[in-house]
Amino acid sequence: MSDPLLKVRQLTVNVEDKEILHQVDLDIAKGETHVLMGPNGAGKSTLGYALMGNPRYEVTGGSVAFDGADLLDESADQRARSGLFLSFQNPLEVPGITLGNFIRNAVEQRTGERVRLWNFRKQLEKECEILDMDPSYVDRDLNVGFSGGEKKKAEILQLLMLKPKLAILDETDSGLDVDAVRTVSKGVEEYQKQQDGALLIITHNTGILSSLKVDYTHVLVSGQIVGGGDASLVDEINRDGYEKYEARAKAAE
Amino acid sequence: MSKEKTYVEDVDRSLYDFRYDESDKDFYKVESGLTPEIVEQISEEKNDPDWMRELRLKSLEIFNEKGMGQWGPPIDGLDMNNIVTYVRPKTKMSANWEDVPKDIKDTFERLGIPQAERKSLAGVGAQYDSELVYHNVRKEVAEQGVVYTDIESALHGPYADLIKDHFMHLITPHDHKFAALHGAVWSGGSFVYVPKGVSVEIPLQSYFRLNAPGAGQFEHTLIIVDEGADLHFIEGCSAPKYNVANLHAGAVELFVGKNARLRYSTIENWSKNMYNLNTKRAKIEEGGKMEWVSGSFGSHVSYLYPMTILNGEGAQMEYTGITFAGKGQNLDTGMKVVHNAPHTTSVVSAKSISKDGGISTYRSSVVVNNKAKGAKSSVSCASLMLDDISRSDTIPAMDVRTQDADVGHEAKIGRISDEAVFYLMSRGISEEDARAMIVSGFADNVSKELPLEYAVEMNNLIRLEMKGTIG
Amino acid sequence: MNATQQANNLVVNHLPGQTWNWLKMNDARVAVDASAAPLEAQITVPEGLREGGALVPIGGGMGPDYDRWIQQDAAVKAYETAEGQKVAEPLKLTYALAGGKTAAAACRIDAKAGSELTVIMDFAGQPEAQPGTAAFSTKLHLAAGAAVTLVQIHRSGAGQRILNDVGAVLEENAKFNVIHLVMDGASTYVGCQADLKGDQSSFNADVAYLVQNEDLLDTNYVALHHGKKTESRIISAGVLRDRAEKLFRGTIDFKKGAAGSVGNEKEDVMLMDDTVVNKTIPLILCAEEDVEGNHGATIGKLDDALLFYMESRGIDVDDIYEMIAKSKLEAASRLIPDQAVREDVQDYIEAHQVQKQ
Repeated sequence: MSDPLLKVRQLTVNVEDKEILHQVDLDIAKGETHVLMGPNGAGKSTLGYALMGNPRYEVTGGSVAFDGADLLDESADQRARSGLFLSFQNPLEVPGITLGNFIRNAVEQRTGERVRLWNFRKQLEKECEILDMDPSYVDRDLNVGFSGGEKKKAEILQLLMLKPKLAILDETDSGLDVDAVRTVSKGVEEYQKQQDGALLIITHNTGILSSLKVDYTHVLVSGQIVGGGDASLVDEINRDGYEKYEARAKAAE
Repeated sequence: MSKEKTYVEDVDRSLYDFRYDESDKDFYKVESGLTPEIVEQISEEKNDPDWMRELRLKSLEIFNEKGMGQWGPPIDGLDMNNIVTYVRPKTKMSANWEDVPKDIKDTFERLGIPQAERKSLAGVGAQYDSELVYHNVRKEVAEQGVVYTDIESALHGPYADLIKDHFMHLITPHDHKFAALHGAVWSGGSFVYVPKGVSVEIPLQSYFRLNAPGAGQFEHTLIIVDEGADLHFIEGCSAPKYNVANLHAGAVELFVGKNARLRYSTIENWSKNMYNLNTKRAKIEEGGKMEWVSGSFGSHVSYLYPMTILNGEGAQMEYTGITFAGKGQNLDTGMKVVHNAPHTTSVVSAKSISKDGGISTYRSSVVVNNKAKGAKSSVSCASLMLDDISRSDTIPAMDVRTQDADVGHEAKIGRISDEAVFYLMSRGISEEDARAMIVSGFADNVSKELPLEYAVEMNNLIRLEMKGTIG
Repeated sequence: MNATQQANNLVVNHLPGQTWNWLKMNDARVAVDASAAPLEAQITVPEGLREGGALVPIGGGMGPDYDRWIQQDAAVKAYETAEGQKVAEPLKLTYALAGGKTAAAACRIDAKAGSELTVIMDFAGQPEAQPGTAAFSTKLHLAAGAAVTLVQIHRSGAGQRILNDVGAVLEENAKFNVIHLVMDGASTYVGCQADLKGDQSSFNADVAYLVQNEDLLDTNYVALHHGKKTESRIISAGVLRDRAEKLFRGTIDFKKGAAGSVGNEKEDVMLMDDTVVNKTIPLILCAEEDVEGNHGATIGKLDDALLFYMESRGIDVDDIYEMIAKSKLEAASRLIPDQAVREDVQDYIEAHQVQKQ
């Protein structure tokens, strides 16, 4: 079997000198959709940030290979250019840079080619339509004054435009109403279709997953992966909670 | 992968730094230093009317009496005995670009001055050292009755009395030491008169170039916008870098009539051996509006606080400024406003960036007099520190003497958020570019207010300054 | 020296970053007698608090000129806590101001590591006091983890000039709270400086004032951030009327090395007529990248909507103004930790009749 797209081995991560993730293993192959579940404070977002290379999250052990290359030596922008994407739970507001210009700049970095303005605008408008997003957002400052829902849509818009190989969606569905969740998951579906893109979805809810084919589910408790299974595990956890897994995590300590 | 660069001493200013050696035979200069004889000599050279010669000599006396304030950046490096106050290129002012001497023409052409005129300006003045070498205004604008000329010619023309009634009435030689110096040795600059009700659709521009080493530039800009008229005036400044101190002590006097509007935009990019001790002042009548747009990037030391006197009911002022202090720079900028009439308003957005040991200070005063019932003032300052060897101070003063005023001030200081940098990097943008983007975005209060080509120039300056900030 | 009548000119309340002289905000000049009489307090010492304690020189907000002058003649009281001691009851010092000859008092507090103490000083004018000057100096050292709250009540009555200097040095994790109420006094000069020397130390000042009857208030609050992750918060709220003049100086000074520090400063002033002079100058000085500083000021009249709202509930306009004038003092008085003092101050505010002119 060929190597998976993402291969995480024994990953240990500290935040402000406190160990949050302990020796995590994770494999994601091209085109697969994985779900990461876990109670609050389990370290789910930490895993996302550590994979993306946020300097506040210090990797103290283990290895991460992405698309055959060692990921950990690379800065966040290099990781992005090699095809990794993280949708932020709380996207930052950056005054003075429009969403459109920002995406164009990022696409140019990703592809290494100049983007022709006219084609770019057309594609952007097409993707906005999929996301049921008013195209005027493209000319507004990045995330500034966007509602929670618009921020999440702007993240998915970037996902569609940047076409990564693996996208990590960190609670992209949190705080959204049913309609917005449906729109966002339509965007994610589009990404799967267009790119045969792999996904790691960090979530509490099944809403975003209903229209997506889930290949694996992982359970993260107290910084350790303590269980896994197929898509049915999502329903099981929603029914029974994390109790069983919390006991496992205790036992492992 | 290796990073593009580690550290750059100074930004690449080659666009501004080119220079021709000024062999003395092509230029008329006075001796360096300051004596009544030199002032008389300048006055003679310029064929001043009597009142002007007296103003110069009186100003020199005041200059010699006045001390420096205790509050600003040090100007020890400035020795008046070494400053040449008057350098005149041996050419007459021309309204025809072809007649400007080749080396001077080349200098301005590299700065894009005549191209800009052809494209988007209603008129252009170009000053080289102490004198204007070129002045032109579009025919259709001139036909509206708009006057745009050098002050020296205007002093002997039909507007002589108008100038006498306004010249150094708003900024007087008593104001401070360098206003007095200006009064004594001023030379060059522009006179603009926009008649009643005339709206000048596209901007007028003056460009100031100080080429001679160890020289001072003391241009005087006098603009009168009559009742109901409207004007946008742009000034640009640059100089090549020398190892000796240069001095800029210009004066800008702006008179905005009833219901008139004046926008005054400046992109200042003096070289980093320049002492920029400039004074700008505007008086606004009833219903008039003054808009300042100011980008300060160059100079070794700057003292710059455009002052607005809101003198008539309902007069308004807006100030939008950015100051970028890099290595070796101490830029003390801000504004002053006096609310002197009812229902006057002032709105200020000031930003500053400090980097590589640069010092930026925002200094301001908002005075609301007893007469200014219903006055409103709102000031917002933001400072960005890019490292821990730089400095950024905010010194805003407010003096309010009526209950019926609404005065608000807010300021904040901070750094570029690591999270914002990471967010941009996570989309594939390099750290250097991410930081430059955030800084450009921070400065967009000013770039949004500038005509496109100036906004582009300003963003280029920021990009140059931000190059190599990551070790 | 026999020069009781000989005047000294002190330069006090020096603004930490200078600006244009014509604004007359850079400092204040006060003429004082060359010497002063020691001013004794009526003191309630809580159980377990000892007299004594050694203090190194500590700078205050009024500045070195004032320090030199007051040190000559002031009656000095010094107290120290024991390590870890939580002093339950406040230390109370009441200064009865009779006017006449210039009087001076100094107090030193040496708060040992982990101890807690509240100090309440009452500058109370005597009925029928002569015009005069009373000068105070309070210097505090807060060792690691110590927490001190200092309440100073300015109610000297008409005719008195108060000079009040506070200076504190804070070691690691120390907390210093200041509550200043300025209720009257012909002229009041307050300087208050906290040197946040130790990491994670914090300074908190709540200032409230009502200035009227041609009175003057001149203040200088300074937070010096030296340590890492230090915090300061300066909140000033007041009302001016009847030819009052007030100058508020507030400075957050981030020194190099004060990484992770946060400073916040806010002044809210309500002006009640057109005879007042209100000057406000809030500074942020910064030589460190990793800090967050904010300041704000709002200056204006009573909000029309609020006025209308209160009128609609049947309150007379004059009464509304009176209520609002006292509201800032009332709010600050609720912060006084000692119930008896709190009630006494609230009674004073309540009874306080304004001589409308």
